[in-house]
Amino acid sequence: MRPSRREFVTQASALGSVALTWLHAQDARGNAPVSGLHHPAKAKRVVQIFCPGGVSHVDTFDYKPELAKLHNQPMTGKGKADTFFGQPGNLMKSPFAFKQHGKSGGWVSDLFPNLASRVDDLTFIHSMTAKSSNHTPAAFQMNSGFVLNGFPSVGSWVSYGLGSLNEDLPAFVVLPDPRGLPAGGAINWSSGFLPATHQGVAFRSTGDPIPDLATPATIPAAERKAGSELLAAMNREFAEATPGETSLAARVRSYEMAAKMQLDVPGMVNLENETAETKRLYGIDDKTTEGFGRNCLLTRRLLEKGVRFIQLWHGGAFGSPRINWDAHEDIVENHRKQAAVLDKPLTGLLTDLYRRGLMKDTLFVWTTEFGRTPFTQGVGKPGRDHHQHAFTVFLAGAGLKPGFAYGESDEIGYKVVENEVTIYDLHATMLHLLGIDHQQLTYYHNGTRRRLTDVHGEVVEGILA
Amino acid sequence: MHVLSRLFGLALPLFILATPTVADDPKLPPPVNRKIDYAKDVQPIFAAACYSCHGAKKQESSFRLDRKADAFKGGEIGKPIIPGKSTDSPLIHYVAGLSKDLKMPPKGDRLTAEQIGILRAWIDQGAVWPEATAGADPRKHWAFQAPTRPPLPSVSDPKWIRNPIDAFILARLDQEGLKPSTEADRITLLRRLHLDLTGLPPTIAEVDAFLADKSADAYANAVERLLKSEHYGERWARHWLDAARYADSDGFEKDMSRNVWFYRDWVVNAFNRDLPYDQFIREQIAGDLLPNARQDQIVATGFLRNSMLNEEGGVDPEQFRMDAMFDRMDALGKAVLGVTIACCQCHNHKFDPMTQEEYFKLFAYLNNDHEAQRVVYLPDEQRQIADIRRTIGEIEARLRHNTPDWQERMAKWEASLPAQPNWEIVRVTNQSDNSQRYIEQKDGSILCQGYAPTKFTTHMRGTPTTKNITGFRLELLNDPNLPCNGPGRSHIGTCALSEFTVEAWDVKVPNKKTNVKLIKATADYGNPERDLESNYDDKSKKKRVTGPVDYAIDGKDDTAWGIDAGPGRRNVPRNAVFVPEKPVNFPNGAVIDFRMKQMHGGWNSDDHMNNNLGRFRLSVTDAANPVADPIAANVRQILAISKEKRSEAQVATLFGYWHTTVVDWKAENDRIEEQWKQWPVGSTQLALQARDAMRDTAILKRGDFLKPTKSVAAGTPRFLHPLADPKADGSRLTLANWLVDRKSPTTARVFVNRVWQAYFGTGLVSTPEDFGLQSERPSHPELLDWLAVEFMDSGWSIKHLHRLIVNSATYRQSSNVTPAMYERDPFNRLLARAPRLRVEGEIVRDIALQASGLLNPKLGGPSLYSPAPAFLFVPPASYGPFNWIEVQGADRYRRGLYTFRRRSTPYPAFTNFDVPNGDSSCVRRTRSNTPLQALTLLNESVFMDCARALALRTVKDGGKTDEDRLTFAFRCCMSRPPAADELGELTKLLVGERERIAKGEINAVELATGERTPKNKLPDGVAAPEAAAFTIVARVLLNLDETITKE
Repeated sequence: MRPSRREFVTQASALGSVALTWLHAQDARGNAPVSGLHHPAKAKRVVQIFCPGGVSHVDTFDYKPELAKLHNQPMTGKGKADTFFGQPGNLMKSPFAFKQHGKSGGWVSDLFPNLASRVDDLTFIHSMTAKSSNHTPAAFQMNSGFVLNGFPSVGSWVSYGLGSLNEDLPAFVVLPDPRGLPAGGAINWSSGFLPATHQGVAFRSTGDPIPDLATPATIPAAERKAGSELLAAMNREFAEATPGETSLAARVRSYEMAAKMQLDVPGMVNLENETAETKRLYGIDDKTTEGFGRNCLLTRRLLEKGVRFIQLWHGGAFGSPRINWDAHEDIVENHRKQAAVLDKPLTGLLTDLYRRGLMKDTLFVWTTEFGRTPFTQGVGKPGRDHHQHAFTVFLAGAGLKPGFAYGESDEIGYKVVENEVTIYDLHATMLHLLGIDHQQLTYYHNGTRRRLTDVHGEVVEGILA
Repeated sequence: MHVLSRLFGLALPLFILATPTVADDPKLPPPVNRKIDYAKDVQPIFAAACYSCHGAKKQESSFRLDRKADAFKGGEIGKPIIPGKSTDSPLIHYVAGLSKDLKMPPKGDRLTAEQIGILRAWIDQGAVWPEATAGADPRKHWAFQAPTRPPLPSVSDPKWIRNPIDAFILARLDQEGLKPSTEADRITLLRRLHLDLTGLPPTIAEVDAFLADKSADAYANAVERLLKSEHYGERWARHWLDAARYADSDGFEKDMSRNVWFYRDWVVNAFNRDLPYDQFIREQIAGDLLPNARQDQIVATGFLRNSMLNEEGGVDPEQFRMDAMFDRMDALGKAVLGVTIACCQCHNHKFDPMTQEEYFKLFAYLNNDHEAQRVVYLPDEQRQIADIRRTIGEIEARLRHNTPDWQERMAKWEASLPAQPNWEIVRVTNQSDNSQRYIEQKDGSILCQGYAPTKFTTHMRGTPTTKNITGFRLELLNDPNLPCNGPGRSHIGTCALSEFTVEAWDVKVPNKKTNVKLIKATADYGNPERDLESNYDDKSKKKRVTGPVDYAIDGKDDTAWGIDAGPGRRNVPRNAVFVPEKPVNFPNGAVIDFRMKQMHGGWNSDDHMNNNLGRFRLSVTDAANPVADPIAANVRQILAISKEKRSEAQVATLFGYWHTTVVDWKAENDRIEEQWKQWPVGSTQLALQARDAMRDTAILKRGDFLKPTKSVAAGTPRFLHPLADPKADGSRLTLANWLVDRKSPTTARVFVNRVWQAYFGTGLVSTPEDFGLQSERPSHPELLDWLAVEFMDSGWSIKHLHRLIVNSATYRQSSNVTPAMYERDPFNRLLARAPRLRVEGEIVRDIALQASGLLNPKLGGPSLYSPAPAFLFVPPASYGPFNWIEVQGADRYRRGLYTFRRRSTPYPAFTNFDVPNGDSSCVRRTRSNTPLQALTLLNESVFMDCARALALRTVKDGGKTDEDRLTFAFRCCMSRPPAADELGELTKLLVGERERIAKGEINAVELATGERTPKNKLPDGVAAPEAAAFTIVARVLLNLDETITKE
C-alpha cells in the first residue's frame, strides 16, 4: 500500500521528519501564523492535565441540587445500577458546597477555591462518556482512544502530525506525578506503532530528568567533547561515503540533537531562577503543593521552549493511602486531599500562561479516567464507585468558547442526557484546534490506516469559538 | 447525504465545462513510460483508492469500478474511461484534482503523480482489461490463489545467476534497464552473514579464518557453520517472538510477572533444530492435542497465551478472556495467514472477502480452552522425575513380589473401608464485597477468578435441605484455570484457610442468627506446621503459620490450614470436615452463612502474594461423626469401578495408595516418601488446555462481548482453501492442520516474505501483515511464489530458505549506492544493491557486548533483569514497587533476547530503538532515529561497561603499538580494519587523551573503571592511563553508525 502523505515524509527519509521539525522550528521563531496540517490551526501546543483514579463530576464541576433532595434514597428509574466494584448504596448529595463564579456563573465546588476564580476562562464538557470503568483501560482510552495497550497516545499523534517546535527538546514531554505513575505506566504515553521518535519522554522531577541524559560522571567534559567531535566527524564521513542514504544523515542529526538536549535540559528543569512571586503563584513555597507545583512551573517553561505536547499528571496509581482520585472509601477525605494539591498550582499555571500571552495559541485540557457514581459504594458508606456513563472535563485556550459549559448529565449525574461527548469526539476536537483533520491523520499499520479516533469521532462544534 | 454524491450532483455541469480537450494538459502528471498490466498495476490502485465507494458493497453515483463492464459504462456522470485518450478521460481529471469541485478520492490521500501516470499510461495504451479480471471477484485476488512454481525467466546475464532467486531479480532489473551491483568485499559479506544469521558480529578470529580460507566453498561453509550455531536460533526466534507478542508480564494495571520463558526457549530450539514450519505452527496452535503430546509440544501452545491479562479490581474475567481471544485471532491473522482478519471482529471486511460470521467461525476453533498454567520441567528435571518414578516403581514392585497375596490383602482392606456419609452439596451465593469473582460451576463448586485480594473473607450463603446438620465439608478442587491446576490461587496453586466459621438461622427468622460453634476438624491432609513463606509477607512482622486443619477453627487469624504437600503432590484436591458442637436444626430449614477467612496472603494484591482458595465446594451431612475422607479423589474413583473392570494402571494407582496405609511397610513407605521429597520444583508456563465441553460461539454485535447474536459452528473462511477433511471436528488441531495445509494460498508466502523482509528491510510484499486486496502487489510476484513453493517442497525447512537467500548473488551484492541510484529506487525494492540497515534494538546491544568481549553467550533460561536505570522500576516511575533487582555476575551481559520484557515498563534501551512491546502481534518493526538513541549509546550503563571492557581488552590483547591496538578495537566493532585517515583521527584522539592523563588532568583510574574507588583492580599488565585513554576511543567506536549498521 502506498504510504500516506505524512507517512511518506517520515518513511521516505528519516531525515524528512527532522527536516519538518526544523521547518516548524523556523515557523515558531519567525512568529509566522500558526499553520495546521490540514486547515489553519487555533493552537500550536497542548498541555493535557490528567487526574487518574476518576474525579467525581458531581462533587467538582457538575452541580446536582437534585442529589441533595434525594440524599440517602435508593436510585430509581435508571435501570439496574451499574457499579464497578461493590454493592450500590443510596444516592449521596455532594458533601462540598457549590457556588457560581465569575461572569459566566460556572458552578465549582469549594474543592477548588483558586480554580473557581478562573472559571471565565474555562470551557466545561459535562457530557463525557468513557468505554471502560477500569482504571487502566480507561486511562488508555483517554490517552490513545483505545482501551488496550499498543496504540499511540494523543501526544504521539500530535508529534507525528506536526513535528517538533524546537530543536533540542522532545516534541512530547510527560511529567509524571512525583508520587507515582498512573495505572498502565509508560504505556499511557507510548508511541504504539508510530516510530519511537514520537514517544512521550517522561521527565523525572528529581535527579537526571531523562535517563542517560548526563554523561557518566567518570568522563570529564573535555573527553566528552573530544569523543563527540570525532564521533560526529566519523559518522559524517560514513554518511557522506554513502550519498543518498538519508537515514544516516538523520542519525548524524540525532547525535546533534542529543548534544543539545544534554546542554539545555538541565537548565530547563532548574527552577531556581524563577522569582519568588512565581514560585508562590505555583504553590512551590508550600509543602503540600510543592511537588505538583514544580511540575506545573516546568510545564510553562517547556511550553515556552517549544515543546509541542505536555502531559502533566496529577496522581499515580499505587499507594496507601491513595495517591489519586479513586475515592472508593471516602469522597471527602480523598477529594479534599487531592484537590488541595491540585488547585493552587494548576490555577497558577493557567494564570501564568495567560499573563505571558501563551494561551493565545495553547490548548489546555483537563482530563480524568471517568466520573464517580452519584450513589455511595456500599450502603451507608461515604465513598463513590467508578462511573463511566457521565463525567466532566474542561478545556481552555485558543479557539474555544471561554466561560462556557457544554452538554448535560441527568438530574443526578448518572447518565448523559444532552450532547454526549465521547473520548473520540474530544480527541477529534483537540486535533481540530491544532489544524488537523482527525480523519486524515493516518498511519498504516496492520492492514489499516490507523487513526487516533479509530472509525469514530466528531468535532464538538458547540464548544468552538 | 453522502458528500460524494452531493459533489457529483452539483459538479456535473461544471465538470463538462472543465473537461479540457487539449492533447496534453501540463497540469497532468505525465504517463509512465512502460507497458502497463491491468491486474498488476491498475487494479491495486483502484482497490486501494476507489472500491470502498465504487466497489461491490457500495456504488456511489451508481458507479462501480471493480467490474469491467460497469467501469467502462460509468455511472450518473457518464463514461469515465476513454481508451487511448487519458487526457480526455474524466477519471484522470478526478484523480488529478483538475476540477475544483470534484476530486477523487474525496477523503484520504490523493493519488501520487506516479499512480496517475500509471492510470494514464494504461488508458493511453488502450485501457486493456483482461477478461480474467473483468469480474474483479475479490476471491480471485492473487494472494488467495495457491502459489504454483513459476518458470525461471530468461535474463541478460546468466553468469550472474547463483540460484533461481537471482533470475527473478535480474529479470526485473533487465526490464528496468538496471544492472546489479558488484559483490561486496569479503569482510562486509562475512559481517553481514553473521549479523543476519546469528545477530552477532564475527570475532576477529572468525574474520581472519574466513579471509585465509581461499577455497571455492569458503562462503558456503561459513553459511553452514552459522546455520549450525545456536545463536542462529536466538536471532530468528526474536523475529517470531515479535509476531507472537512475547512478553514476561501480564500488561495493564498490575502487570504481574508471568512465566513464559519455556515458550521462548521452545522457539529458539525449534529454529535450531529446523523444526519444519508446518509442524512449528501446528504445535503452537494445538501441540497439546497431538497424540501423546510431549511437554515441549504443550509449551508451544504458549503462543496463544501471550495475550495480555487484566486482573484489576472489579474486572469481569470474561471480558478480558474475550479481549485475549481477539488478540489471538489478530496474531493468527498477522503471523500466519497474512490477512487482516481483526477487522471482522466488528463487521464484514471492507476490502477482503471475509465476513464477520466467518471471523467467528474461525474464532470458534480457539474458543474451547482453559487458560492453563502448567508446571514444566527442564530436561535435567525431567530425567530426575523419571528416576524418582522408576525408583518408586521398583520399591512397589518389590513389595508386590515379596507379598504374593497382596491382591487379597488389598481386597480385604477395600472391603473394610467404612461407608461414606451422604453429603448434600450446598448451592451458595456470594455475599462478600472484595471484588474477587465467584463463578458457580455445574458441580456446585465455586471458581474464584479475576482480582485476587490477599487478606479478606469469602462469605457464601446457602439453604440446604438437610435437617439435622452434623457436619460441614469444604472441598478444595482442581481447575485448569487455576495456577498449576489449583486447588488454590497462589502462584503454585496452593492456598491457606485461616478461619472457617458458620452462622445459621431459620429461613423464616432472619433476624435471629446463631454462631455455630465448631468443635472438631479433620482433613485428608494438612502440611506440618511451618512459617508462612516469605512471598506472603504482610509487613506485620507477626509470626504466621500454616499447619493442620485444626488451625482453621482455632479462632486465630495467624494460623491456617495449609495444604502444601510439596512439589509433585501439592496440586491435588483436598477436603476438610468441620463438626458443630450441636447439630444445626431449624423448624423451617436453615440458612447457612459460610465464612472462609483468608489472612495468609501478602501485603500487596498487585503481586503474586495471594494465598486464596481457588475452587471450592461446600456440603452438609446429617451422618453421625462425619470425618474427612482420607482417600484421594482419584483413588475414590477407582474404588467405584468394579474390580474386574479396573485397568492395570488403575490397580497400580490403588496399590500406590493402599501400601501407604500398611503399617508393616513403614520402611518401604519411608523410602518412597524420601523419593517424593526429591521431586524438582520446576517452573510454570502459560498454555492452553482443551475443555471437555465446547463453548458456544456467537457472532458479537460490533465485537461487544455483552452482545452475542447468532451462534456459529467452527469453520474456515470461504475465500481461502477448504478443509482437507470437510468433516473434521471443531478442535484447534483441525485449525492448525488447515493453517499449514499445502493448499493454503497465504501461509508459505507470508512466511517467506517475512524472512525476506528481515534480510532486505522490505518484504517482496511491503505489507507483511496484509496480503489482501488492500496490499501492494509484490515487487517480484513470481519470486514470491517460487520461494513459497520451494519452501514447501523442501519440507517447510526454514534453514533451506536461509541457504537459498544468503547464497544468492542478490544477497551478496555490495550495498553501495550512488545518489542517482538512490533517487531511482529509494526503498531498494528492485534490489540492484544490498540493503544498508540499522540493526534491531537487541542487536545494537548485542554488538556492543560482543565487541567488548563481555557477552555471555549462554542459551536459554528465565528472563533477566538486565542493568537498567533503577528509577524506572520504583515509584514514581513504575506502577507499584516492582522489584527490578539488577542481575549480577555472569548473567549481567546476556543477549537482549533474555532481558525481561515488562509490558508497562519497557526496557528503555530497547524502546528507544523501536523494539516492540509485545502488546500485540508485530510483523514489521519501525526504524526511527531519535536523540534518545544517541543518549542511550553514549551514556547507558551497559554501553559504558562495554566501552571500558573494550578498552581493557584492547590494551591486553590488541598488540603492542597504537596502530595495532586501534586496529584491534576498530575490528572488534566493525570487522574491517580502519582506513589510513580513520587511523590517523583515532590516533590523534588517543594521543591527546594520553597527554591530558600524563598532565594529571584526568583521573585515569576512575575513567578506566567507572568508579571513584574501584572495587576490582585492573587486570595485570594493564596500566590505568592506557585503559583510560582507550576507554574514550572505545566509546567513540561503539557509537559509530557503522558499528550498528548491517551493510
